[in-house]
Amino acid sequence: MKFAAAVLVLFVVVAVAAPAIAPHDPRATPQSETQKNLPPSGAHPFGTDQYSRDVLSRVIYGARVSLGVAVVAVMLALTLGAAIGAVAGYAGGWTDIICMRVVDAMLSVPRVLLLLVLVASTGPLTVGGIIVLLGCTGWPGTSRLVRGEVRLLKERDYVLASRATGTPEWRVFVLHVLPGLVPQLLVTGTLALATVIPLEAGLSFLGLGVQPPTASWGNIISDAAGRPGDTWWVVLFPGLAIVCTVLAVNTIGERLRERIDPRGRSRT
Amino acid sequence: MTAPVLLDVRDLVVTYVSDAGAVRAVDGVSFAVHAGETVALVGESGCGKTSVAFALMRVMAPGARIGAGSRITFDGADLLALDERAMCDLRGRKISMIFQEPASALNPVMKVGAQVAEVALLHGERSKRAAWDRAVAMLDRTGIADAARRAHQYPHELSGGMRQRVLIAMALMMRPALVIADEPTSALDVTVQAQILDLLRDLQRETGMAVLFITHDFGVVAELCSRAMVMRAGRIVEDAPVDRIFHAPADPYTAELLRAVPRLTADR
Amino acid sequence: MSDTLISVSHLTHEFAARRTMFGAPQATIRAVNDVSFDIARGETLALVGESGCGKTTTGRAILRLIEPTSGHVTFDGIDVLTLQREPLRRLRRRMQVVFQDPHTSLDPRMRVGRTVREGIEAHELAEGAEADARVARTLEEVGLRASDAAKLPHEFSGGQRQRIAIARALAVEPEFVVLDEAVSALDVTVQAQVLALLMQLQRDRGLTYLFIAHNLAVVERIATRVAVMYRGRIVEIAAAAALYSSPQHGYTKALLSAVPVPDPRVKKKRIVWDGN
Repeated sequence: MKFAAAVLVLFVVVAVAAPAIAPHDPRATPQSETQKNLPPSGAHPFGTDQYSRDVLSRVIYGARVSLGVAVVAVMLALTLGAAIGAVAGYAGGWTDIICMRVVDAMLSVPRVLLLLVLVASTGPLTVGGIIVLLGCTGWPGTSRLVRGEVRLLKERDYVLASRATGTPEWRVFVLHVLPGLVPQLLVTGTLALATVIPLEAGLSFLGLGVQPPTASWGNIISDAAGRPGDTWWVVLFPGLAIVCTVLAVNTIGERLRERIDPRGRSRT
Repeated sequence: MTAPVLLDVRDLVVTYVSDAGAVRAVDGVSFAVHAGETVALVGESGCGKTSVAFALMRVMAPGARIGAGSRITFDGADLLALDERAMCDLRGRKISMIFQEPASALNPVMKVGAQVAEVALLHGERSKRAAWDRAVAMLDRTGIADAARRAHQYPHELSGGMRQRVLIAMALMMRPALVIADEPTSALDVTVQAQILDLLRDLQRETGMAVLFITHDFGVVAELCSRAMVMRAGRIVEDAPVDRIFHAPADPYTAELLRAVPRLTADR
Repeated sequence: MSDTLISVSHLTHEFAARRTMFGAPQATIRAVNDVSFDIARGETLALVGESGCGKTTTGRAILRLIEPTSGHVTFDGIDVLTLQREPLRRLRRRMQVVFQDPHTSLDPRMRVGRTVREGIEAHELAEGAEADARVARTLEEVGLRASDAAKLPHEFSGGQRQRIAIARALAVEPEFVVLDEAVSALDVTVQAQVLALLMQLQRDRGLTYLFIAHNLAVVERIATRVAVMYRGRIVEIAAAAALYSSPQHGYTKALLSAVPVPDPRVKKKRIVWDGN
């Protein structure tokens, strides 16, 4: 847990301080042919890609984009999911039935497939567009979880008592139901990060996500020349960054879950 | 008091260790139970009475420890010196326990007859057929009408009182010398409680078992027990025949408890 | 009767026992079946019965914490069951509830002071320092300290928590309180103290109680009248003295005979009620 947190903090610091620590401009493409596809060396610890750009600097700047996109997309998904789940769970009746059927429909299509179809129909997207896309396809799971939690919470005696006191319905929700959702949302959000980071990387690798020359961990990999084995450094370092972040985030998410729910009741 | 001592407890100490420190739930308790006797261990919530029961069965909650100076002698054997296998053999055969919550003490996905038969199978019965027949006979003895049919039902198909009869059947299957009953009627309605108390009294007379009856309810004590031990804050403050406890309590706490017991004017 | 505060007539509540795949009820259970009674201002009506008899559902339907299937409830001449949301919310200042389990009826994340203050704010009875003073006064009235307002529920014992729940109900100065098994989960010594407190508060404030209980012995001292419920119906309703001394219905007799006598010298004759 401590190690995972340290790894994550390291990546966040790198992302925030990118301009200060990156040795080169990640977009600079020196014209000289001699700078192309250089293996790791003192001047370029992670080597250079087929456009002569410094891979280390691109990975550092890529952290900004990849983590930034993931965090904002997850926050969007959580907000949407929590809002829809809360409304469905709290209102019940037809609202609930309709919301949950929509969720079922969305969950029945694999997310990657859905994303590919959507991007194919919109064409290349801006970073903002990718965030919206990832956010809008990520909420169904959260909303189902939140709905379940809300349905449990709203039958609690203290919620009934609050309603019986004459507290307006929205205040009952804000005061007594919402705070009860926070731990669950924290866990869900953390684990969602671990799904969204590789998703974005995958899209960007396929050229459907973050567009060059802006660096993201996914599209750096696609800049390897010829066979990946020939310029392994262009694939390895951003790949390692993705794997390490996802492992760290997953570990933290699992620990958080154990802490709020030691018996693993909310699994699946 | 001519009957031999069946259970002898000396200086029993049970400590709960947690991050917050150690708490002495049972703080030096000594008492004896004679063969065939029905004794009450009475006290309010948190007084340590259930911890005593669990220590006698050697089923301890995580973090609970029995003090080094404690001695529990049952039928001549030093209970605290027995290894786990010997203890398992003893549990259910010579000492058994009836729990408070029949709903959670039964396995929801197993026929009640099979759960009673399981006790016999655990303690030497080879034939499943014979075990089942013994289970049905036992269920019949606990006053379950149409026991042969009921044995095929699952716990949720039975009423609370009926489930408690199943638990009693499980506890008495092997004709134990001592039954520890931990608030066996507290979760039941008064009319059902009355029936269960009658049943326990009849079975006790029939089998000659000793009963250690753990309860907070003085009404139940008066109905069923010949002697009562009053517990407060981990200690036994008074140990006397029920007539003395109810009519000439020596300890002021006993007197206070008795005054607080709700009773019908007509019963005064 | 001119001093009737609550009037319940033909109250019925059905639960769906089974539903079709579209959510329409297929089989129903009548948890409350044609229940009628009045409660006069200042009296305590005890509603007694065993688990599943419909007593809690009745209490909740009166407060409209659930919507009953049919019937009428009037509070001080107001038709409770047809009220719109906002007038209902305002009416709730006058009718309050205390639940059975003080471990679940208090929000574990909310400080006691805020819990008690919630109703005061919802009904704009006071604000700022005046509201604080009112919280402090109410806490002291139920036997707690004003400084307890800053604590969280887990810092209190069961009896103290029940006092907090009572303070929450009283803070809005209601006329009527539903006590839903309000002392059943407490140890006997604490139970006696909380009962005494409830009786004191009733004298001081002229409160009207609907006291829901499963044990006839517990409510004998506090009840003015007693209604005995069995399988959704009221089988007997009478003045407390009459009901305890000469119960009419077989079920009432069985219920009385089942209360264990805390005296080994007394052996009571058990009356069994066969359900007819």
